[in-house]
Amino acid sequence: MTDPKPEISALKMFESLLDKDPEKSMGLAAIEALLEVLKTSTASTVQGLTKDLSNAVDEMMRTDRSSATVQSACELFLRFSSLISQEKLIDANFEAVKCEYVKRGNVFIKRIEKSRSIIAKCFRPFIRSNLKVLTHSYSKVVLESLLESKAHGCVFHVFVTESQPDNSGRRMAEKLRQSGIQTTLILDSAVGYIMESIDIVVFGAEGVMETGGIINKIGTLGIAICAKAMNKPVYVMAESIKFIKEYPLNQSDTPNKFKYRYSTLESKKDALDDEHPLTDYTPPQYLNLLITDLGIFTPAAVGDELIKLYT
Amino acid sequence: MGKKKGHNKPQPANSPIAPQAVPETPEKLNAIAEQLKSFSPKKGQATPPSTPEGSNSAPAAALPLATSTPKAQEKADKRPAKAKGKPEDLNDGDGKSRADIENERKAKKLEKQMKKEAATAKKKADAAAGNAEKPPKAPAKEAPANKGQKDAPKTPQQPSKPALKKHFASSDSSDSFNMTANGSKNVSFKEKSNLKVRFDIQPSNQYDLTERPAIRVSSYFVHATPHNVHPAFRRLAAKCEFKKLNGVNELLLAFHKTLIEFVEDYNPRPDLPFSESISLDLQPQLCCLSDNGVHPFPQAVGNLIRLFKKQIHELDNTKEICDLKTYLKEWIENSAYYNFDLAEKAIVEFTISKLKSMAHRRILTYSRCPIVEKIILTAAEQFNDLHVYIVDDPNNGSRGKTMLESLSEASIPCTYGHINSIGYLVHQASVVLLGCSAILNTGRVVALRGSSLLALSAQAVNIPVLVAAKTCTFVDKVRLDEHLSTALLREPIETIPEDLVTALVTDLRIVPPSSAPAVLKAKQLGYDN
Repeated sequence: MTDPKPEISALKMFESLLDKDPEKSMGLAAIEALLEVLKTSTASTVQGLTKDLSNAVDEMMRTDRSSATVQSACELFLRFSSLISQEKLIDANFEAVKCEYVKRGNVFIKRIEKSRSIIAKCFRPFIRSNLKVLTHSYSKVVLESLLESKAHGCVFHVFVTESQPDNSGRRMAEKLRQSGIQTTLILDSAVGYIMESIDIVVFGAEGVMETGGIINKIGTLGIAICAKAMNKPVYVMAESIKFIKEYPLNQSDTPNKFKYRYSTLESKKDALDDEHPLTDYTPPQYLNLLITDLGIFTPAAVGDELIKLYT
Repeated sequence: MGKKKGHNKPQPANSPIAPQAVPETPEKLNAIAEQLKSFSPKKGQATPPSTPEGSNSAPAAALPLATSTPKAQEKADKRPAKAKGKPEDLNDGDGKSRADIENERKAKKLEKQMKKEAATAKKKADAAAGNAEKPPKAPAKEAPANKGQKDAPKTPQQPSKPALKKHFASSDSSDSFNMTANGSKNVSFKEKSNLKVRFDIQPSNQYDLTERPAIRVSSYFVHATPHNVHPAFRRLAAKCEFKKLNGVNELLLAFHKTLIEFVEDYNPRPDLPFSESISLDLQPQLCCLSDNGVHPFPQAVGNLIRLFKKQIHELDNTKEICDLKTYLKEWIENSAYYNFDLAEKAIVEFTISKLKSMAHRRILTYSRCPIVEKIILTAAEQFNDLHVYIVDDPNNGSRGKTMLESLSEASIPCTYGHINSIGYLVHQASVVLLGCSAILNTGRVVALRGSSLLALSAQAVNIPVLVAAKTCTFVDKVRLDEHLSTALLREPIETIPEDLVTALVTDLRIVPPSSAPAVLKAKQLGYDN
């Protein structure tokens, strides 16, 4: 089934998928791009196939979008697809093996497509009426969960931080207002002021670490510390494809590829001290629960789940 | 610091305490106690008691106390078979005159009074010169019969020890103390004698003066007859006793070797299948080491023993005996290889990958852990801006000095300080690296006493705490009885709460402390496996 088409650039596919549907989960887009590469690969051995796929992943990591999500999603996808049982591998020619890979890839994608709605369902019991919710920046998962709760009749008030430097909080506030949720856009610096009237704090995540901590838009750590100081619960919503196999000890220990965009890293390799990082690492002691499509976990339990996922 | 000598030197009577090694036998300590009574003005007894002063020969002084209680008498009677090389007079409990008995009683009363006052003095001495050394143990070579005598006089002896320490401590800190304690009397303790009394200031010791004095002392081979216990185990116990083996790591390695020797020389009983016979004969060896379960084994050693027993249990008895033996020996060697060579390599690699991403590599560590030493030596080859701060416990062997020497030989810049300087050192460091002897189920870390101070200070200044833990030291327990001394290693330990530890660096991967059960499961070290 060798395709006469030339190999499609994974990065281009990734970008085009996201342009077509901006609401699509970034991880999902990365996986779909990988599946396309898998289908159209001209390799004739398993090793060649693996090489093609890892090249595709490297290409996609050169995106200016969240590279943490891309990396984790791709790694999990590859692990899942290559987990073919022994019987099917015996006496199988390469085409059959490739078919197996594609089949498993599709299964994985179907599961991931449902992850956001599973998370939204898990989150519903946490929202009561007349609740004041604080969230940070623009997260698609959080948006979907809040919309779902509204659709089931909950009335609540959402406070969204502006989230400089890219003002993504504004987009979030607009989307929320469009669906009729009472929303207030606040300054990043006003978080300390508003925290006493908040009931719960909700974040999305670009990546969930082995420690149970998260990588999210810059400013998350400050809000989490403020919430902890005032005893407000902090919930994180993340799909399971965002689990990353890294163990940062503190901010400086987080890999640079998560903190800066690829273009920045390339252009200013040695002068990163002047660059503002785009994300920060929130350690697990400031988080109360992580709501994922695999269930609701405490940060400590994430490590175990990761082990299960990666083995 | 001064090692205790196990010889019974005769004590010259009526002389000030001669500078010599720690007198262990009860008669000497009693003699000293008697003399103290005459020296200390505050004790309320200006005049020394009559008879003990007069008949100050060592055995006679020991006599009232050794056989004053009926229990001690019984014990003394039961021990004659074991008595090798005991002083002959000790067991002559019979034929005492009435006067002697009265003198005994008077002496006993005075002892009790001294005990009370010495207990308060002991508390002061603790505060002044806190240490954590153990009470003297009778090495196997010495007369096991002494155990019988030690039981009864142990109680009155303990309070005399702190009194001794107050006056004769060769450590520098209680100098001022000597002055106040001596008071107005013209007695001068001219020389800083080498007399060193060690006592353990664990809580149970302080208040436990009247109960269970026998537990603290152990004679390793009380219940073992020579043909039962393989000499390899005896050698191991002796090495531990004389502090040739420091720390769990060395002990584990030595234990592996001991087990191999045991299997090598083992001849199975003719009537039983091999696995049953060897497990039956393993029991008394372990019993004698742990004093019949009174002292539990250190956790990592316990793990090894359990796994070894499991292997024995799963042996296929139909095979040849020499095959089975080779199989067991191979298993032990493999276990040593995996848990030492490979595991240490993995831990070193993981830690170095964490050190790589640090801007300033300033490592703070405590005492001497061989794995931490390896990590630092390997890291020094890769990074040239390494600086090591070693915190040490002077009361516990100052093992940090050995570490300091080996690191300096590798030209690594080091700073050395005692535990008092932790407040200063922790501000200079950027990461804390600790060793451990076990990891509990909940993620608590069992480490040398003093490690938790480093972890606590590190949390206060917001620097990460890494603990190098081999997976063979993970144990399926929730808490440890910290005051119970372990069978072979007598080093003082404590537990570090899991919220003070940032990460455990194991040979599998870097793990948060809360994931300890996952590691246990992965290595099948749980108790139900």
